Amino acid sequence: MEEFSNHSVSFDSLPKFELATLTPLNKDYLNVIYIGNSIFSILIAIGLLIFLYFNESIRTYIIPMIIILVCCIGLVFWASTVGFKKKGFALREKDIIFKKGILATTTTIIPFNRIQHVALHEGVLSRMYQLSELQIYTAGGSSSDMHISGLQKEEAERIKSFLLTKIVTPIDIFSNTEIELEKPIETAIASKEASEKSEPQN
Amino acid sequence: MAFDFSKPQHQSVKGIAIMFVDTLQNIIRGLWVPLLLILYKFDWSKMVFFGIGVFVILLVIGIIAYLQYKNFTFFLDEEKEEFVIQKGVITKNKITIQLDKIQQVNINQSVIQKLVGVFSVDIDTAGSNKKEASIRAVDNEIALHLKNRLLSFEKITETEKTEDDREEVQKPFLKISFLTLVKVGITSNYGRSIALILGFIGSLYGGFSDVAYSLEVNEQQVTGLVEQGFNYFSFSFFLLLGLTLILVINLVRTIVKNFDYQMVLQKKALAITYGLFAKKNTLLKPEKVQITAYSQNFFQRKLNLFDLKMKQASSTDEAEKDAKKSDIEVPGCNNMEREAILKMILKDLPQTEEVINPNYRYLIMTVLFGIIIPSTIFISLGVSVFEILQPYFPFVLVYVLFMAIVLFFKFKNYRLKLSHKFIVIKSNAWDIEHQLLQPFKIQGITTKQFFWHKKADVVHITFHTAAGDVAFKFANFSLLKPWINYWLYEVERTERSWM
Repeated sequence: MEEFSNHSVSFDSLPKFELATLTPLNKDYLNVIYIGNSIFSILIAIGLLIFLYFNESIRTYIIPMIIILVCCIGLVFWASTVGFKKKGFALREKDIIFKKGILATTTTIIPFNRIQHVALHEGVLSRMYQLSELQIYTAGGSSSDMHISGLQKEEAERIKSFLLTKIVTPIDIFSNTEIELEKPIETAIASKEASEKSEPQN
Repeated sequence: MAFDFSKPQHQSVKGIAIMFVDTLQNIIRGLWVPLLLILYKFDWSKMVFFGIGVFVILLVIGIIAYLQYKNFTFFLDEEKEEFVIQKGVITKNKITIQLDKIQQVNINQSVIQKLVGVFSVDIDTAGSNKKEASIRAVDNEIALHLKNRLLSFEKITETEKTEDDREEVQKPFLKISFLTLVKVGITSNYGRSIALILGFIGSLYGGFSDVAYSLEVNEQQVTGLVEQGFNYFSFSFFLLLGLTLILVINLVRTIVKNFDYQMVLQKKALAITYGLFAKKNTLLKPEKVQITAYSQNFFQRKLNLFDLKMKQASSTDEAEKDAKKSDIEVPGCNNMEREAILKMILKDLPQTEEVINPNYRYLIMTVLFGIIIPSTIFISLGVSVFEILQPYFPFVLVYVLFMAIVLFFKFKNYRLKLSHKFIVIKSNAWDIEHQLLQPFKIQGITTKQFFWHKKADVVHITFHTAAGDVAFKFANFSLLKPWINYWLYEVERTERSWM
């Protein structure tokens, strides 16, 4: 009988993944990206300088080369800013959604009951800002793994432990509205509201 | 007769022979070029030393084989539900496999094993990258019982098991006759045979030039001969020869590989045996199948033949390389058999409730990359750089026509057929393939939309499964959204395990 009632599911009544409000990444993460980009740019510039030092014949083209370099660096910064703004995730009651991409918007959805394991990763730069990357793995191979970087460390840990409880527990009732963690996920706006309503941390 | 696997035990004593041949084979495979050189430049007066050398080497290999046999034990730990293999002469290895992680247990027999009269038991697990767990030499009965025990570890009593064995003999679920195999060999898998021939020619040429080099044969003489040979045969003759060769190889390969293909229904699983020289024996559990696909080309349709493939969950790292290995193929079955197998594995036959066509941009894209870009590159190269190419320009027209037909049919056949219980992707121009996927086997869903597709409401969708990704490109996003929500609902609500 349960099988039979499947057919009566009306598509309109199902929760819509496309309407889930996405949480942007922590603003500090943009700084991490900028620092990384700066280091990269400096290395490229040094490389160019060394190249020019050893090749006297090319020095006449020094001005166009510098212009190209500056343009490239500018493009990298612009692209990473846009990329940062495009990234966002949403935790729903039974799945997690992650959206990213500059040219193409890629949306990946992983139901909690398909998660194999969850890990946290901290880069050197991210650690300075107390940020971590949440890594979610499924049995679907590397293309379906989810890496959400730029989360505040405590928040990432909270999501991780939340997900770990979700992996094993069987599903009882279906309602896929967005959920609230014990503490609200900090976004630029939400953290302000949170600080007004509840006690500030530390 | 009861078999006790709870205590550590050795393989069959005959296994020493197998180990011996294995080691010998490895040595010869690794050193065949130097060996050939030694033989070629051999000073026959030193025959005695050579004989002694060979004897010593064989003795050492024999000792190694004996030690390998002596140090190899396996047993079933029923309490911990683990299968343990201990092996290694110098470095000791202990492989522990949890029984519920076992994907597949295959009983195989190579030519040498056939000579000695033993079988190898290969255990395939989910999660580990290497297929380390392989027992190289056991008797037939032990192999069968071990397989049964490993795969159905729900504490089966002895009586049930014997009943099972009897059932095995009685009920062949599917049997592919010799005639069917001939039909299959003639009508399908041209691509694979062509690849095989090309690979063979490649390695032959490579091997030949190696030999020529080491034998100090004047290579120019040889290439001269080959060129002369080309003059004797006309191009069309070669084409005909090639086609016949492909057909013959296809036929032989199909028959050798799938000779006496049998599928037997065993306690919720399918036991499959096939092969002429090396007998393969595989057990397939329906719940481990993630993607089921069947394909049929024009000839096969006329003959009522289907090619069926079942893709099983495989560990992700080796998915790309070894995916083919854990695929189980039914080379030829008719419509009724196809439906019976699908019903057995999927419990249901797919129906279609909604068909999603690809956007016309799919056609534009394939034409651009399949016709326009390659022919433009060829012609511009011919005009500007390599003038030798110019006489071949008429072939471009043939290519364009051929590709136009192929791409048209590819577009025409590219469909996403949806229903509550199935996702079906139909694709390909010649071997028209249907990939069937059940929503509850989905691990995750990814949609990808380029910003220039936003206005046209076009999206690429990928279904991640434990047996690899399945994608449908250039679909209508608005049509797909409710379905995505439904699939998520289906996955999240179900307690049904995907494996």
